[in-house]
Amino acid sequence: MAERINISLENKISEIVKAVEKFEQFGEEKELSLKIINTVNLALDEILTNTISYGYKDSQKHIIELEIEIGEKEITVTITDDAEAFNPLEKEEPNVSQSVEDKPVGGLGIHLIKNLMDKLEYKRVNEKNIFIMRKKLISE
Amino acid sequence: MEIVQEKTNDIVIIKLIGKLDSNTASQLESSLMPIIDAGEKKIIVDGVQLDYISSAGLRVLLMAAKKLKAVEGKIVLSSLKDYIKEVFEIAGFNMIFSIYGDIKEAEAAF
Repeated sequence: MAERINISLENKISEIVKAVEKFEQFGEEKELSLKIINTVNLALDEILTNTISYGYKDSQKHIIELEIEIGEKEITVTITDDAEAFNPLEKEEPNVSQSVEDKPVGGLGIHLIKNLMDKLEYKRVNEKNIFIMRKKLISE
Repeated sequence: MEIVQEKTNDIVIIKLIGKLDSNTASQLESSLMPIIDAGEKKIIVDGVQLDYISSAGLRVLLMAAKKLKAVEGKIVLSSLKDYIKEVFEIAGFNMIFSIYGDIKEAEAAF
């Protein structure tokens, strides 16, 4: 049977750590491996930092909803926010093979998500971004 | 996150304990940058007790590497967990930073 947790957070950087801790606790209760917990933590940290830092053009309070579902074979993380439309999958890939002088400071977050998660999906529905990340629980 | 700083001879060793993420990266920035500004040129960042790194943490390390490169200094890493090494590889940081098995090996590299 699938296990699910819903977490809401405000669009403040300081809220990310609270959301990540809630997921971590849930993941430990459900006996996820440390590697899976760390991977999902990283993906959450990156996408939420991005949304909160760049997604809102006003200075109003917004709520970001997370739904995390642990199934038999995979974990599914759905992030829903009312920020400006942003499709992480369309973001240009950074050049990761540059020298220290040329390497840009930034742009790595989405790249990490793309490489650490197994499947990503983006939808814009009713003025909301819905970003779904999946990670297999058993490595083949 | 906790940051422990030591100095042996002319090498500064920075031990990271806990999580280096969007929330704590600024802590590392504010301990690392003044050291470089003060003229230290040999820095080891040790990750034996580092549980986690995000792109915010990688950014601070890159900024430090850029600063040190300009003054012919060097920053290296030691004792990273496999999971953290994987993040370094995905980001292409394994090509910028030398990563050693432990602090002793890293010290020998200077």
